[in-house]
Amino acid sequence: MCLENGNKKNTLIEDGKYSGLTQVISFLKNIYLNKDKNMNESLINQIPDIIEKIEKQIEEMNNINTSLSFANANSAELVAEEENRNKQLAIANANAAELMAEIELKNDKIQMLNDSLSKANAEASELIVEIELKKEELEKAHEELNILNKHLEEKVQERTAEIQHLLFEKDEFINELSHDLRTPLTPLINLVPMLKKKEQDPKQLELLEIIINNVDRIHRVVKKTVKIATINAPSFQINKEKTNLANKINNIISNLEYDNQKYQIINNVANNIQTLADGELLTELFINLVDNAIKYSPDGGIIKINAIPNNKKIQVSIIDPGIGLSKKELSCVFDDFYKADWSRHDLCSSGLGLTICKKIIEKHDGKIWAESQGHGKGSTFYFTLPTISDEENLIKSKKIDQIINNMNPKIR
Amino acid sequence: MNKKIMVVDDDIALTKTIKFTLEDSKEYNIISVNSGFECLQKLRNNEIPDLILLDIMMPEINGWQVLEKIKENNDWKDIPIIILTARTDNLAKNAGKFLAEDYIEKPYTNEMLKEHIKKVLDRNLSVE
Repeated sequence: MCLENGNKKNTLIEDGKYSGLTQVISFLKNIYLNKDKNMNESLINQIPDIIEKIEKQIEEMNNINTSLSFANANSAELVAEEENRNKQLAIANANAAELMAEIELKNDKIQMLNDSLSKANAEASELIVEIELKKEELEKAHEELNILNKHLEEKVQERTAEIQHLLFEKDEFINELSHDLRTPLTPLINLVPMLKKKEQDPKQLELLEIIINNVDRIHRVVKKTVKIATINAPSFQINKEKTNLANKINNIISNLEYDNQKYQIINNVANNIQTLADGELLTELFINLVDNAIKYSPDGGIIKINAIPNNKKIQVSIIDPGIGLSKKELSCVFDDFYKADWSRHDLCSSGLGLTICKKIIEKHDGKIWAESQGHGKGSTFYFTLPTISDEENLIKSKKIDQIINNMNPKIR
Repeated sequence: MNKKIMVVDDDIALTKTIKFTLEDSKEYNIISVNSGFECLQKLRNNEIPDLILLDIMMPEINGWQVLEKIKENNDWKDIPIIILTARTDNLAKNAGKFLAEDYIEKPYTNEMLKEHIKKVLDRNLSVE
């Protein structure tokens, strides 16, 4: 150590411990006091201690440094870790941002969807309102329709009653008219032939003949009209009897006034067919139908009568080679006053014959109809009559009904 | 001797017709009257016919009433009566059948009328 002149300060160390500083005020060359020398010496002696201390301190410092560097190293690691984390965080952030963006997109979409949904909802509620309105309208219309229907039904019933009344009045009128004609017809029917009998003049005879023919015509219409009215009357009852059909037809044909040189009537009905029918009405029916067949057939015409029985009904057909009937005519031949050919007045038909036939068949619970291939192709008239077994069944069922009706109502 | 037949009908054409046609054959004498009242008056005056042809639809006293009066009277009840009717319902038919001796529907022919008259008169004769 080199102590310079000047204000040098020295550290005082006692017992290894720092105890203070000494200031050297002047160090003159070679002027050392003993005291100084001693002090120096002691100082010098102290140096190793101090060095040692310093070394110790350096060591400590080094230690600290090592630990510091350790700590530094640690902190670097930590920093690295931190950085890593930061990176990860950044990535996570980026991801989150991406997700956020996506979510926002989705949100946008959801918003859009919501918008369209609410729009649709609004439209739907509008539609619902409209539907409600329409429903109300429909209900109203329905109600109106119901009322109309009711009215219509009432109207139909009214009209039906009116028509029935009118039909009844028509029948009544025709009936009255026919009855009213019967009395004045009597003198004509009886007196004109008397005149004819006494007349010699051929011209007068011809005139009388015309009158007689026309009176006969009126007579025929009146008779048939009265017949229909009689059958139509509610009090009218038919008188059914067991009848052999073939025999009955033969009987009627033999009593029929027709030119058997011009026409031929063939009865093909089997001998074993029995029916239950009103004899008088059956005669009337066959006379009308065979008369018609003759009336509308050409000279030399053959009229055939056939019958097919089954277990319930006998189907009878009368086939003629006559003028035939159109489809339209077929549908109305059974109507009152209908004539297939209005121009043929000379045929003297009343237009009521088939109406009578229909009534007669209806009274026997049967059906009557006509078939034809058309004009000029002949016609066939069909009708059904009850068989005996059918009638027996009817009677049986009526008897059973009667028994049931007579039963104690408690049992019934 | 010709049978006496009384014709009761308010329709003069009809009574005349019967008179003409029936008298034409010279078998019958005809008394024609044109009301029920006239008929009963003649009977009361003892003009009793062998047969009466009686119309139903007549004003004031109709055929049924005349029939009733005749059948109630002991002096008249045996006179055979034929009803002449323009009606064909069952009521008229049955009344004609059961209350009178016979009935004829209008319009009838001379032949029909004669047939019925003959039948009734013959039957009456055999009863007597």
